[in-house]
Amino acid sequence: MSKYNLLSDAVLSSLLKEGDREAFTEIYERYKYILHAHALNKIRDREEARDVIQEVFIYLWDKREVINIDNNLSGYLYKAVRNAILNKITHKQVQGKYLDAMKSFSIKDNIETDYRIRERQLTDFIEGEIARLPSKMREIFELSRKAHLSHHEIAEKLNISDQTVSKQVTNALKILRVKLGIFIYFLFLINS
Amino acid sequence: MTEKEINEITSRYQAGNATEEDKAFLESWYLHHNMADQFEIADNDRISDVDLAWNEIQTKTAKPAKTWLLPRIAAAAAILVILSFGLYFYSYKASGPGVPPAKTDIVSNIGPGGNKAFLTLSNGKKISLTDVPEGEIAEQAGIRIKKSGDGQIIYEVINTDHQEGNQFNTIETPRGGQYQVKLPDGSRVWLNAASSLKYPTNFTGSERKVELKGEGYFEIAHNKSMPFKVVSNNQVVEVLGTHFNLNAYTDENPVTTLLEGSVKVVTSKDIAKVIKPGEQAELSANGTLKVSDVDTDLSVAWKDGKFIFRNEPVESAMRKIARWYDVEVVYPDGVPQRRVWANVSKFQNVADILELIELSKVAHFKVVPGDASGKGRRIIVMK
Repeated sequence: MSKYNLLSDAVLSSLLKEGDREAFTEIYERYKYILHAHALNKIRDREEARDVIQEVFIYLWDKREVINIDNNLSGYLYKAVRNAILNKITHKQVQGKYLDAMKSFSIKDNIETDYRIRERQLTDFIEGEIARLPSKMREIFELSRKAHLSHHEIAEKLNISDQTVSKQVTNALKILRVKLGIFIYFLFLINS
Repeated sequence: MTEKEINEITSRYQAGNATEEDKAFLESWYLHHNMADQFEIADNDRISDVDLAWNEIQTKTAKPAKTWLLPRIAAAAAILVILSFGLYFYSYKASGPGVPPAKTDIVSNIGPGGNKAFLTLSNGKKISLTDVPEGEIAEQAGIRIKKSGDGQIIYEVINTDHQEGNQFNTIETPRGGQYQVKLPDGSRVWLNAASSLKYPTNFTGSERKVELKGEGYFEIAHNKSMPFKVVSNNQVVEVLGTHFNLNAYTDENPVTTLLEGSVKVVTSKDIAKVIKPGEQAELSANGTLKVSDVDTDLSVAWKDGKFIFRNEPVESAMRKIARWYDVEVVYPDGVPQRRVWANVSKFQNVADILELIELSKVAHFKVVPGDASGKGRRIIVMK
């Protein structure tokens, strides 16, 4: 059992940038089912869906120092999966089944020109899909979203300022690593 | 768009030269692609696929140097012990008697609706179908009306000599109610909450005509010589024999969805369209009739005991919830411009459904249970 499941997406992203392998693992654990379900829904091929997930996470690790997660890990991952799928589909000539689907789509005038709206729709769409996942898989995502600690909460519990946490999440986490056990115990007492 | 144009877009995309329009097209298409239904796969297959992927990811990404592994293990072990105790304590407390589930802030709750309706006979007598016992309810003009166990009333012709028309009955469901009627011609109608159906106790003449308010699902017995007509606000649906759903709530645009057969929708402005199975005709406020392809499961989910929301505007989803749980919905922060996704049984408490909707970060909800009679029941939708 990892303590990392208590950390927020933002903290995990910062740790990932620093090369923290456990943060990487926790990100996978948190998002694996919803990203996989989404990829599977879109391409309807188990092998290819698995490929997409692998590609996205291998890239995430290899480029962790340079990619721009922009304080929105879920948004980054959703876009990464979308782009990986579009990349697959547009590779060489578009295959027949997608070509037909695109042709009939192009007639319908459903094109959303604002990329921000498209991105929000993508988030709504994918997070909607978790509602349709079996409850055990849903819970993983649900619990991590609800039980995490934000920068602010870490700062509060450790009695340091928000800025310190934001600037030096890694350092704060080092302190946290030592204090976390007892601290979590107290947190449960306070909250329940 | 032609095949050539699409291939040009995709090759620009591949080359990394996609224009803003190219991206808008591909990404919009992506959003709509395979959206109507879910790709089903066994739970075990899901688990094994994500595990396989993880193995592959681990092999392909170099691990960092394993420094200070031992202290880490020791710390992890210590945390595990403390954490387990904390969790045990936490879950023990949370599941104790009288403690509401801690995982949500929707603390109050409201139970679902059920089989409730009133029947008004042609002589004006009003009967609560909820309270009346099973069996024969009334006999009028050669027709016997029976209540059967499963929230249904049945009309039977017992005396064919008695064929005078113009005897009308009305069945009416309150908010939080639903009911089924089997008409004397064998046609069946499911009535959703806050709806009513007015019909003759026996069909005579050249047509079978009924009036609907609210929402109903119809399975019409085939009779070529007597077309069935459903009159609702600003439109008439004409059928021979077919299955369709008609949503005619006054706070919605009338929507006719066809599952089987063929129907003609005629508006009060005399616009008529014939729709095919899998199609839906929506009468907009300006009087136009828009026909589109739909997933019919969504339209009849209510009849099958479910709420299925797929990319549904918050307000529309909340109207359905409000009718079934008989609550008022308020939006102190304005209506969230988000979409709802859910597929849930409508026979659970309202908090369970709202919690699921909250998961997709649509909004936060607060349930106000109201007084003992249910007055003042309210769902507050917050950003």
